[in-house]
Amino acid sequence: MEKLPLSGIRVIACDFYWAGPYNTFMLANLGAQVIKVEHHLARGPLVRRHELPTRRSYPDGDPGEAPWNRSGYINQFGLNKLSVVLDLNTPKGKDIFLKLVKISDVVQDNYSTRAMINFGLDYPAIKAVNPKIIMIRQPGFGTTGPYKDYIAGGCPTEVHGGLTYYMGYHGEGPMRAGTCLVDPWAGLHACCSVLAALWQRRRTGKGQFIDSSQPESTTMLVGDRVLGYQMGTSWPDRVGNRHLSQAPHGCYPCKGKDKWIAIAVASDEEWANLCCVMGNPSWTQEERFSDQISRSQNQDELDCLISQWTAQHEHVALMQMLQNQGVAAGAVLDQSELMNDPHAKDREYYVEVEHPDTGVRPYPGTTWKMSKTQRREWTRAPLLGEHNKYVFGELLGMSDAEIAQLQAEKVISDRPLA
Amino acid sequence: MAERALKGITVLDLSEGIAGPYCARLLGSFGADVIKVEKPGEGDKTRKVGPFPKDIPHPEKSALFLHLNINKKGITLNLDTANGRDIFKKLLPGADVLIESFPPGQMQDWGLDYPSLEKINPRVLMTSVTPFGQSGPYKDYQDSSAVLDALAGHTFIQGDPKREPLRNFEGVAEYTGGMFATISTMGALFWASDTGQGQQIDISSLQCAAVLESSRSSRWTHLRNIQQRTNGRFGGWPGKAYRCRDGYVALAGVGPSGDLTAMFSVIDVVELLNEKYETEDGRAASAEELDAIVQPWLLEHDKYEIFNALQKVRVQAGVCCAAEDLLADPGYAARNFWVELDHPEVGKLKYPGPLVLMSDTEWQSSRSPLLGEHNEEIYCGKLGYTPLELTQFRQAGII
Repeated sequence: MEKLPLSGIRVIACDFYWAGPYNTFMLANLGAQVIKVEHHLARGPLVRRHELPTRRSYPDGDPGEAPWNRSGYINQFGLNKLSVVLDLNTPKGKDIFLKLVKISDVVQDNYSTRAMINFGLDYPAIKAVNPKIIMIRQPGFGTTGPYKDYIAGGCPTEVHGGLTYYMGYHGEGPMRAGTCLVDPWAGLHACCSVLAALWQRRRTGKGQFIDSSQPESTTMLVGDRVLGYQMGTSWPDRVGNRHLSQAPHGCYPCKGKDKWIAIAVASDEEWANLCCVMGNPSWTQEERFSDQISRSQNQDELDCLISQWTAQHEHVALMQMLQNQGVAAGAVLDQSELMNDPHAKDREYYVEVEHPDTGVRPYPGTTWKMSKTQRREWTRAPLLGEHNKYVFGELLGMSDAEIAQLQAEKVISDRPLA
Repeated sequence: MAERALKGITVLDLSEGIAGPYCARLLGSFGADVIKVEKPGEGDKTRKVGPFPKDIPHPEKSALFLHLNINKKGITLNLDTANGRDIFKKLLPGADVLIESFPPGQMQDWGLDYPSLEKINPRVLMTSVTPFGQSGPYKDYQDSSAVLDALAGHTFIQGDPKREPLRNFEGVAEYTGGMFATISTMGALFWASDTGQGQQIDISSLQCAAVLESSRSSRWTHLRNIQQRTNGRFGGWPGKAYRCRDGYVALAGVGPSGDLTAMFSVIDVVELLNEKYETEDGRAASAEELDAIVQPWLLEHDKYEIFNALQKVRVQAGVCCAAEDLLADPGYAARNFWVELDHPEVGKLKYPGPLVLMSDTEWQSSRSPLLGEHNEEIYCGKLGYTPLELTQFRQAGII
C-alpha cells in the first residue's frame, strides 16, 4: 500500500458526535488505522433520545431497519474507520480494551471526564499496559479545573469560548453560528497535539497524556478581541455583515427567493471597479460616497442603493461579473449549490463513497493536496461492530468460539442491545 | 521532563494575513523555531489591522498581528529584488518548512516555485495556503472573509430567515485554512522523515471553511432537504443565546433525562411542565412558548450563576463570554490558559496560551517580533553577513 504519513499507526477511538470523530478522522486521513470502540448504544437509543432533527439525515428520511447504520450525519465522520462494539462496563470488555491498547499507539475519547475513570481506563491504567501510548481525552471542558464534570457540546464550546458574543447583526445581540463549527475546530487542535506527541515519541520513545478542553480552541478565533479589550479599544462588539473599516461591505439581495451575495470593498480602487460594473450611475459620484470614511458614515443609504442594483441579478452570475472586475464578491451558496460549485469540484472537495445501507453519496472533506503523498483511498463508514471479527479475531488472536461466547454474554455485539 | 515537541524543526514563514501566520504560530507553540519573513517598510498587512491601543493605528501595536505572530523571530527581506531572492535561497537549506501565501503564480515568477526550491533543499516542505488554493476557477478571485463565508455555505444557514443571512466573525474561514495547513504540514513532516523527500502542500481556505459546515450537507446528500437558518437557535429547543441580568448565556438540550424536570426545577417553574414538552419535536414546536417561560428567570439571575446551576443538573449551559469574561473565567484560570507576555511597544498583555495540557510536552509562548527585529541575529549570526553588508542591504531596500 502507498506510504502515508501515519502508516503503521493504530488509534483506538472512543469518539462520538463531532469533536472527537473529527480528530480521529484527520488521523485516519493521514493514514492511521482508526478503530472506533463503540458502546452498543452509541448509535442507537442513546443517540436517538438526543437525536435532534438536524441529525436525522436518513436516506429519504427513512430510518429503515438498522437506523444506527443509516445516519448520514454519523456516517460522514465514520469514513476511513473500523468499528467494534465493546461493553467497557464489564470486566471482560475492559480486559479486551487493554489488550487493544497494548497493540496501539493512540487512545482517544471524548466521553465525560468521569467515564474513563469509572471504567478503570484512565491514563495510569492505560500507561501500565503500554508506556508508549499517547492518550488524548477530549471531555467538553477538559479533565481538570472547576468545570471538568460539566458538559460542553457545540453550544458551550462556542459561547464559553467567546465566539458567540462577537457574532450577530450590526448593533444587535449575540447570535449563535448556524452550525457547530467549533466542534471540528476543537477536534483539529486536538489532532495537532496528537501529531506533536507522536513526533516527539519518535525521538524519546515515550508516550504521554493530553487533556484537551474545547472552549480554549474557540478562544483562538477571538484572540484579537481579547488583546483589544486589554488595550482599551472602543470597537463595537458586533458588526454583523458590516466591517469595521470597509464600506460597502455587506450581504445584498439577488434575484429569486432567498438568494444573496456578499460584497466587500476594501479600497477606493475597488469602489471604482464596483461603480464601473454597476454602470457608473450618477449617485456613485456623490460626495458622501467618495472615500472609505464617507462611505462608512453613509452605509445605510449606500447598502440600500446597492441592493436595488443587486436585486436585478442572479447571484452566481453577479459574483462572476464582479470578480472579473476585481471586486471581492461571493454568492451565498446553499447546500445544494455547494455540491455543484465548480471550484469545489476542481479541488476534488467531494468524495463519492458507496455504503450498503445508504448508497452512493458525496462526502465533503478533501482539504489539502500534497504533491507527492497520495490522498488516502476513502472507505465508507463502518456498520456498527462490523470489524469485531477482524479486530478480536485477527488482531487479538481470539478464536471464533471465544468471540461467539463474548457475543452471547453481550460483551461485544453488532447492534444496539436496548 | 517536558520537551519541545517540534524541537529542531525550523520554519520560514513568508506568509501574511491570518491563515499562514496562524499555522506558523501553532508550529511555534509546539516547539518549532519559526522565522517570520516580512517585506521591508510595511511588513505583514495585518500590522495595519486593529484593534490598536486606544484605537490609534501603529504597525507594532496591532492586536491581530500580536496574537497571530507569537513564537516567531522576525526578519525583513524584499523578494521583489534579485538580491533578496538570492539571500532567501541561502536561508532555505536551514529550513524544514516554508509557509507562503502569495497569489498563485507569484513564487513561480520569482523562480522560487517548489521544483526550484527542491533542488536547493530536497527535504523542504512548502506549504502554500491561499484563500482559494493554487488551482481552480476561483484561484485568482479577490478574497475577503465574508466572501469565503458565503461560498463555504456558512452564511446561508446563519441569522434570521426573514432578512439577509449573517456572516461569521471576521477571519473564521482563514483561521480554518491555517489549521488544515498545520495538520497537513505536520503529517508531511512524518512522511519527509520516512522517505527523505519534501513536497508542496496546497491548501484552499475556502474548502477548509466549507468542512466546518459539513454537518449540514448530509441533510442535502441524504434527505434532499436544504437546511434553513433559524435565527440563532441551533439543534432544537433551547439551543440559543438568552439575555440575562448581567449579559448573555446560551442553553442547549435539557439534560440526560431527556425531559424538562431538572431544568424546570432549577428555574422553579415545575408547575408549568406539560406533556407536549416531553419530546424533542414537541419542544421544537413550542419553542417560543418555552422561551417565554424561562426568560423571566434568566433576566433575574447572573450569567455565571445560571451557568453553574444548570450545568450541575447536567444541562448544557455556557456563558456568552466577552473578552473580560474570558480573562476572568475560573475554568481558564485553573488551566493556566492565559499567558502574560511583555512587549516593548504594548507592554504586558495576556495572550491565549496552552490549548491542550500535555504531560510531556511544553507549550511555547514568546512575544511577537518587531519588524526586522532579528535581522542581525539571522543574517549575521546564521548566514555570516557583516554588519556593513546589512547596512548596504538596508540602503538598497533588500532588507
